[in-house]
Amino acid sequence: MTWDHDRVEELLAAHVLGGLEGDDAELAERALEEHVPECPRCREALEGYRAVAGDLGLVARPVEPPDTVTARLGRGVGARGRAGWRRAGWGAAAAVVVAAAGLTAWNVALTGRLADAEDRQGMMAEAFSTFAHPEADAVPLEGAGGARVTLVHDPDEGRLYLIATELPDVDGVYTVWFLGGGRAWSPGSLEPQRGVAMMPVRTQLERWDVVMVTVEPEGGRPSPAASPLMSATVDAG
Amino acid sequence: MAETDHELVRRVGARDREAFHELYERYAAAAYGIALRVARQPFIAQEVLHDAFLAVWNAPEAFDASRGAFRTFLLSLVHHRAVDAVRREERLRERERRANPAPPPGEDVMDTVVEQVDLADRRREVRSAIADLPPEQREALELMYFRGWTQARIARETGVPIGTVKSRVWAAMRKLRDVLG
Repeated sequence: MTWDHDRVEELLAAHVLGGLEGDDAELAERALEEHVPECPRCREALEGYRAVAGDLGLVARPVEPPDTVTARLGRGVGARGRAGWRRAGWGAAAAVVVAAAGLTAWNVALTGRLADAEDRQGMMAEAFSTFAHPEADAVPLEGAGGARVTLVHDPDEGRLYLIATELPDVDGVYTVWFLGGGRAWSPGSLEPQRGVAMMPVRTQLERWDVVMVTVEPEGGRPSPAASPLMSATVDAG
Repeated sequence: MAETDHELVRRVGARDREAFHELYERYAAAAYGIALRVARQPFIAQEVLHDAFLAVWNAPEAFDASRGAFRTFLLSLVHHRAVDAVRREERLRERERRANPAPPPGEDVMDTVVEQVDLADRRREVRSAIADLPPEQREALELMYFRGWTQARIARETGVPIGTVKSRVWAAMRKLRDVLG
């Protein structure tokens, strides 16, 4: 095949910007394999366009990424606990105490609301059993505002509870998300009563890297669209 | 004196976590900025940022110093991943988004950062070069780079013939290469 240098350059300019599809994308791939390595002019053009594409990224305003990304990367490179990598680890007994206080508040908030008191008492008993477990861990979610959200985990039984207190009224739904392996999963939304909510979560914690809460529009979403209000890095180990 | 990016990448190749952390400190904000600009959703942008840096950790040899600066390599990597992610997401959300358009992330909730002077200087040069492009070339370039639109989509959405879109993008890239190179 005879290659037209101008045509190849035009393709390369769009290729480095990710702007090709279909036949043009296939032709660009062929040019990159068959022609560009042997053609000084097109090779030089490609390097020039690549440099421009990299520089274009600087036009976007720099934004400090959240600590959750930093923490996940730290774990990804095996830097757990090393200086320089911030990490929100599993908390100590204090977080369990906060969570237990939240659980009590949740029970009080729901008194008179749930018609079936037995259901509520069953959940309370299981939750307190989780909190009282000697191996129970608790991790507070960190973020803006005065709300307190804590994830409590019983590693033996694999039970998880999310306890939230002092949740302000919002225009939307407090939605809980677990992130990991490039995907997001939501066990549901928090439905605060007098600012207090409790949610049992059925999942294997080791599948996830991050837990977070966002405020989403009514109706739900397949993945979080809003910035996290609160988040924490989780570590099932 | 601070180590060069090239030296840091070489140390990353020897599994030096502190060198990797230094690269992250240098470029995370710029990389997250472009990921957010393209993806427009913090969750996606954070995944892109995480995956791009982890790719650098796992395969630092993918950076070839003879082909340009590490900054160029990294931001191109982030951009490509952001475009791929947003196109995947758009396919998934096409129906939902028609009914309920998602607004871009609010500028007021983002923290601005203080960064290295040389990065800021280069940013000014790039912005100035883009501002000097003819408006129609600038629009085509921005739709392709920052919105992740293909040439065909730009033609469809703007009503401009695809041949004209191609020539505008190419002309813009040639000018930027000449000014910034």
